[in-house]
Amino acid sequence: MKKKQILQFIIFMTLGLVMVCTLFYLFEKNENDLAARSWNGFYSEEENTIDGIIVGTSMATWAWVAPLAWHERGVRLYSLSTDEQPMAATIGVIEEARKTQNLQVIIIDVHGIRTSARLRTVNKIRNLTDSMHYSINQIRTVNRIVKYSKDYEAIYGDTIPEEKRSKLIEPSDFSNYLGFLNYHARWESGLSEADFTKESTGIKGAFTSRKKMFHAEKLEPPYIPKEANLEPLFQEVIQEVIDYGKENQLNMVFVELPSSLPEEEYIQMNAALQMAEDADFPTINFNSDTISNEISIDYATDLYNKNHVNSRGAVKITSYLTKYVCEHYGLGNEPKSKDSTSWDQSWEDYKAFFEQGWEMPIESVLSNLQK
Amino acid sequence: MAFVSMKFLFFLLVVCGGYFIMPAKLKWVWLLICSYTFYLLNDARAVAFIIFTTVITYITGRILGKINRNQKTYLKENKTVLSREEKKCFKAKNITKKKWTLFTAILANLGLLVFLKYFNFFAGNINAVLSNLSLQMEVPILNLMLPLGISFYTLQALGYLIDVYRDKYEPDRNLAKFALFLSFFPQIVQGPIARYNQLAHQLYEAHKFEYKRVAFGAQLILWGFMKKLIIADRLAPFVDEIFNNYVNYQGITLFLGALAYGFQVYTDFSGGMDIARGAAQILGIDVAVNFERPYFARSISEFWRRWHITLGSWMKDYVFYPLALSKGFNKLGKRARNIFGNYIGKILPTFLSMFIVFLLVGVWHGSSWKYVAYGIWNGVFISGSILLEPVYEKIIAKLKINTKCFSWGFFQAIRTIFLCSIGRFFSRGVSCMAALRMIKHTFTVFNPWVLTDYSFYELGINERNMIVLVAMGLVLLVVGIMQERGIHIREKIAEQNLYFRWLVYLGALAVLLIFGVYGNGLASTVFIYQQF
Repeated sequence: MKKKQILQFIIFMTLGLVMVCTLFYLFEKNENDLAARSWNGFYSEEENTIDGIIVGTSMATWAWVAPLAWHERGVRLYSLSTDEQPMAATIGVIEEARKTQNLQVIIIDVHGIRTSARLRTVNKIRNLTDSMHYSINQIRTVNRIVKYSKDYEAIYGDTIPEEKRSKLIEPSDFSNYLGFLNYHARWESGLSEADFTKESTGIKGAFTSRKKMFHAEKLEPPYIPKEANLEPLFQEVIQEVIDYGKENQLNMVFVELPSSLPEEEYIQMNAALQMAEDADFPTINFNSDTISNEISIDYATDLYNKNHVNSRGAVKITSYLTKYVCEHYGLGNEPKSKDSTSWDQSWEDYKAFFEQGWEMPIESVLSNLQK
Repeated sequence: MAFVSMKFLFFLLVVCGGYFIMPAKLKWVWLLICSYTFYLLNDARAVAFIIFTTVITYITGRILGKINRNQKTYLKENKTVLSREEKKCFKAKNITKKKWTLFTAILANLGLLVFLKYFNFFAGNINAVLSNLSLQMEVPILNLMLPLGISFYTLQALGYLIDVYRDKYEPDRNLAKFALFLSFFPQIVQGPIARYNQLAHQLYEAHKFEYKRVAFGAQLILWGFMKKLIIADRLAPFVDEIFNNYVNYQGITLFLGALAYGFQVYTDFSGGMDIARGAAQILGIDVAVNFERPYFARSISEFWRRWHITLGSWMKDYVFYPLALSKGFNKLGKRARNIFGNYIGKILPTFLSMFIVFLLVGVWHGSSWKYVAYGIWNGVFISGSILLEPVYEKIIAKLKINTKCFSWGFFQAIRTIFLCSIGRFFSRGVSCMAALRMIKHTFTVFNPWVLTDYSFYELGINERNMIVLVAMGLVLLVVGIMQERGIHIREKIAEQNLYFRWLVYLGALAVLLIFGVYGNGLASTVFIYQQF
């Protein structure tokens, strides 16, 4: 091979690489997806301006109203929760956020450890991993999820329903790592301007489904047993998060958001919260009578369904948690960036959304909490 | 490890990298290791079968070679001593010995293939007959595996044995080298069926890195991927829908299903061949061409000369000629001449041999009556065309048709495509009866409006996919026309300016990445011929 040929080869390969990277960028996860938009929004935030994140499943997505936290106390706490986010992905999510932000607090919802949330389908996993940028951390996150799935199948394989088996993550599938393999055919449904501009959510990841956020499913408060019990595999998952937090000296708060679930699931979450407490991490159980009464959570009016709060419940939780992190971690009212226009705008948008939906001022819901 | 996978591309990279840095003496050893690794990764359980075929064929080849050599030496040494009769007698004895040796090896190799591929077919049919006769007997249906590539490497081994038997070349003296000839990884999955004298020496020689050859090989692989992933796998859902639910469709829809299957199997198989040839070319090895634009053929016999060429040429050399030139067929020809006249007597051995060849080609594809019917379909048309050739010539002369002009050639090509598509009902239909039903409903229902009412878009190919298919089909057509005119496309592109060349290569890669059918929810299908 002549020198000229080597040079040509290198230039050609570089051009090829640039082209491939451009294609990977264009054919990412659909912009209409909330997870993708939330992550895009997070990535577009200026470096070291975010105070903290909340990690969890859709329960946390629905429960956290970032614009309200900003409006009330000047806290920029972003939700990086995604629909059915696997608990095994928690470290990866935190690690990804820490790449660009100096996180002063990390709120982790433990609902991902309960029986009905333990086995995630590949599409739900990709909801998260394909929304993250290509990086070593993204690969590690996938690897953690794959390892967890393998361990789960090894122990509980017999209990997996047949119809779900084909939807589980395939460990050797290369498309777990490369979102392009999953989305390169998006031209079939048409590419829009958004595909070339990468729009992010205008309301900082807050969940704004009109159908869901203004509905209440009149539920009963759950019975919270005293027992705490968690199987070894899931203890391992929680322990890894705890160890990671300790190792990196992170301010992590483990929470159990309001829900109305079967008794045994609370036993599992009790154990998770207990493990966190034993490791000297603070915990907040929104289903306990104390907190529930303190913020007047009404299961008949504040929950959309047994798994999710509606927007009325969301503002109560956000307001309480914002107050909590301000008091315990000294956050708030110190804008880290000169430009807070997008945060101010997000509050205006959310306020309008809320008030149109319930036809009531958002302050009326929050008034009791301000005391 | 499928050809269409990241694993294969990585594997190929390792094989090529290793091959070019390996000392010259060890290059073939590296290829052997890689070929067996490839086989093990694909079908670990079946490796014993390929080893069995390799050892049996190698030993038999050595025995046949020894007989050939001994005969030559003996005749040379006793040239003046032996009478003509004695020489003849000696040769006859040797031929008998060789025949038995060859027969034993063929029985072992072909017996294994037939047993694994056709036992359950025979058992099922025998059981059906026994059941019809109300006999309380049953031949057990066995849970047999069909080792990867067995239909291909068995024919390759048999071709080698027959050639050695015919003293066409010396047998291989090195078992490991011979093992490489039978297992060379690019062609183990679905051919082409190589000839020993064309491939073996290339495998054993040490090839140095050559920029142009590597670039050409990579281009061929890219082209193969495009055919497979953009056309074949995009047509698959449409074809599957129509053939798997044939009772729901009729008329033109059924015909288009068969036509689409024809193009699917062509782009799938020839795409696989391009990947195989490209991979071999990078290593400096030229493997046989298996396709020469069959859809440009003007008759079914020409179609088969352009389609799966190595199988056709194998059948010609090892089945057709031995049959057509056999004593039995000669006798048959003479008798026919006495009864039916000169013409029939002359063509009958060819006619029958051709029919048998196509019946075998049909059966080679699989163990089902539909493949028997597929073979008969092709056999009837090809043999029929030989038989009726004078009639056609008379009609053409009578109608004063100009056979030299484009329109006549175009008509012939369309006619061939039509007839081949009808044959596809047998090869793809779920059963022989299903194929017959589909043919019946194709010709008895008139529904041309399905071409304009967009109902196709509900059968697995939507409008956007259809545009991609048409565009890629046009590219294929233009490439085909250029190749028909003797233009070597890769050479032609290589003559262009650097910028244009790179634009073509990167453009092709981008098209493949965007429009290829792969990844989540767009599962690429296994190569169709891999299943044969």
